Amino acid sequence: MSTTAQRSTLPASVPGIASALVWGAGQLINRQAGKAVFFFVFFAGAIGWEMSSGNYYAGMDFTARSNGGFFVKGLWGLFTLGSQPRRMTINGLTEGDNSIVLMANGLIALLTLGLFAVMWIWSIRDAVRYRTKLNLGEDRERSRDYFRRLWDGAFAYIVLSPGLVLIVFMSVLPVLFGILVAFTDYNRDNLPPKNLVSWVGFDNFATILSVPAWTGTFFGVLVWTFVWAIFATASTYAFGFLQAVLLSSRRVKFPRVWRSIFLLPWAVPAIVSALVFRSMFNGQFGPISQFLVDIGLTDERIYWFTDPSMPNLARGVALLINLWLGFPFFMALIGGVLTNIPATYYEAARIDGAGPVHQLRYITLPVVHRTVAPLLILAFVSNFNNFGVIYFLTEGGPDNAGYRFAGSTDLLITWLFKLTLDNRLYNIGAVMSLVIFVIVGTISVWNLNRSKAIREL
Amino acid sequence: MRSKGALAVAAAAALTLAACGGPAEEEEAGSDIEWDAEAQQYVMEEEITSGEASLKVWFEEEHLAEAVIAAFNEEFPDVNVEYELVAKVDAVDKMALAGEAGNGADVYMTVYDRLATAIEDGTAAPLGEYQNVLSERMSETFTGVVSQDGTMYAVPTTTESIALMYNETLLEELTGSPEPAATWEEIVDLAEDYNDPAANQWTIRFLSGEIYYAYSVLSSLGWQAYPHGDIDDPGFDEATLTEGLEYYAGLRDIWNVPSADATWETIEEAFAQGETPYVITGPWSFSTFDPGAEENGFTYGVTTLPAVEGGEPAGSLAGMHVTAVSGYTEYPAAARVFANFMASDAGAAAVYEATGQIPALNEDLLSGIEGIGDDPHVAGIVAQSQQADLLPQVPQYFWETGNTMIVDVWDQLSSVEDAQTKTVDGYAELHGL
Repeated sequence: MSTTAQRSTLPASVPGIASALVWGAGQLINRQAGKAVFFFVFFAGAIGWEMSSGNYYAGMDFTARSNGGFFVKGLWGLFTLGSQPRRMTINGLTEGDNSIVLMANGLIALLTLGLFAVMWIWSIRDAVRYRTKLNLGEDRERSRDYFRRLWDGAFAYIVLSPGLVLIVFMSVLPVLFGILVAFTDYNRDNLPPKNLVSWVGFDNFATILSVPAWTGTFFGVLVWTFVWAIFATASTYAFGFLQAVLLSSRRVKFPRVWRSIFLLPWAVPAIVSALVFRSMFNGQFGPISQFLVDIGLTDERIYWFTDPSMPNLARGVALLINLWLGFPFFMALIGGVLTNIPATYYEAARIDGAGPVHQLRYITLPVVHRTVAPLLILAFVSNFNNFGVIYFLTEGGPDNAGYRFAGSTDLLITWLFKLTLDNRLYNIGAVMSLVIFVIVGTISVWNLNRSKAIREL
Repeated sequence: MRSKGALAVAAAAALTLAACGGPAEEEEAGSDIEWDAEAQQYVMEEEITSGEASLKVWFEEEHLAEAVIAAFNEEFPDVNVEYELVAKVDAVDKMALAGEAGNGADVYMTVYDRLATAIEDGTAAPLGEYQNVLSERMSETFTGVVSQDGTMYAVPTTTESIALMYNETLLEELTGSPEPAATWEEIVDLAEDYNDPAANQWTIRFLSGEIYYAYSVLSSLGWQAYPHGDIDDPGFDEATLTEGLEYYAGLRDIWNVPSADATWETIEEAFAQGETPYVITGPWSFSTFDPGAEENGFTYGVTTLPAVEGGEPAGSLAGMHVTAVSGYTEYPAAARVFANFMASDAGAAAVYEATGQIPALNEDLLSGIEGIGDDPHVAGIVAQSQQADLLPQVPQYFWETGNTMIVDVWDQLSSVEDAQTKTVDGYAELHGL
């Protein structure tokens, strides 16, 4: 009985603190050797990684920069972005810090530490909880039983965890990197490896706002980007819907042949199509303008993409070409949904005396819309950032004298590209992509939460 | 007691791990490379001359790489040179990544307008003593483009300047003489008869929306970009530019096409088909024009760009392909020897033979290269190159703001004064960032 007495006198915080200091120590106090080993392996791994990658012999000469291991050097790099600039000599670059490499390594170290922290918190919580249960008089549990219980209860999460680690390093890391660049002076005046980049806080945001000419361009381009995204999505959806309904009609002969033909625009890479359209719609030398003049429909050539006095013509043609490129996707998608609508719905409707229009309006449309709604939002987002079509079709033209470095059909993403990458203003580019991210992210999250298909997932 | 024992084991394990060693301290940079004043070249590293290690170079074209390396090995038979194919426009960006990773080239070729970045970020290293060697072999126009603060960062390798190319056969038919026009006024006169916009028949074609092409007109009327060689002052507010732009806008009458519609294909193709008497382009078009001329039965000539009547000779902006030594190279001496070789007699001959591009050397040295003296087309480009203007290392936004200004004027988006004001502001905004 002495063990019971000892158990009841030990407060739950003791193993908790022990596990916080040395992972698994609390479990050992709780007499769960298997668990203790499990947590200690992670602890030893983290410490061992740091020790073996750093130089801890240095003693008093220890500095994070030259002796730190993976984690210490990484975090040091992330906070300082380097302290030793490189110089150019006749022998080449001297040794020194590369801020961008330091930032990337620092982020990797930080995220790895984050994953370790999950294990650390788990080990503390586990030690405290188990001791609390014991203190309440519950039975002991062997480590093996615990892990079995865990395996059964959290199977899905355990299987998903390798994927989570991958997501952290392949998706979260680049996004964080992009966000961090917005707070640095990483641009053409501070290009690594020769120069060090440093943190500048919100200076870049202030810079953008301090150039009024750009604000005007920004809002002009933003409005057109919205118009483009809405019209491009709506038109491809509507036309794809129409085609799918027509193809599913029994009266259409050879539906497979038609479907294959309509899918062709989608099969050709969009960039290639855009370039072909670009030369076809060349106002002066393109065949379409010439044809219209030759048959006498127009007296003069029509400058589709290059007439600054008619920006809406270029915008309209760009939307039409995007329709041609984009409708097959929705046609194929909706065609699939249509085959899944039970024929009994339509039968019942016919018995009730509903005509084809009513069947379309009250059966087909709601069923399709419910399934396709999340994809509509994704299509809106991809049209919002539809770099390829605009950049290769019009290059942003026709030129707009009121804009800075943007034309009348430039989307935010193409303007951003021209302004920042050509000029190597990476920090300003990061700020602007943050803005786009916020806009697009807000709209998507709000809309996806409202769509039934996602809510019922 | 058991738990205490286990704790001790754990602590011991942690200490054992801590005792594992870490990486050594950084190495100090070696001493400077040695200059052999007699041979006028750097003394190459032993690993290279013994053939133990090889030199890595980046070229865009395989035949150029093989020709240059073969010529180099004739002079230095023991040196191993490997090459990889990297596009010139991508080389600088790629170098910043590959150099850091340790698998970059020792020597690479790039385009002159990418060099500013390479100097800024340290991927192009100074040439050291070769600066004096090269200065004697080429004009200041060329060395100036690759220099910053008086230090040369790359070896000018080939030069290209746009020039006026004319269809001799067609001109003889139209004017009775195969001689090209010397002024824009002569071209305008011819255009009055020859132009037929409905059939897309034009007297002259050129890329009208780029300052690189418009510059010849602007300079003929006295404007010079960066008049003081100072990067703060591109000279966009000069009165001579106003005059030049107004004249340039007037040229829209004889080449009445929106700038964005006047694309490369349409310009080159029409000349190659023998439909256009004049075209403004560079030596890169020869490969299209030569077969075109043969097929369509005409001969063409190359001459200096037309001036404005009463104006100065038309200038142009010297374009160049340059060879740079990587800032990451482990063999700085050998890399410089190779880079300098590109501008030596043997190297230049190899470059010319492989690509047909004109080596960036003084005219008297050029004539020593086999074949180059007999090529009348090359002679035209060289003649125009003599009138090319010296530009300091210009930032990318010079082209961006300048091109916007030219487009605004050419497409009549705004008045010349407004276009100039906008350009001055735009340049200042980008410059100030």
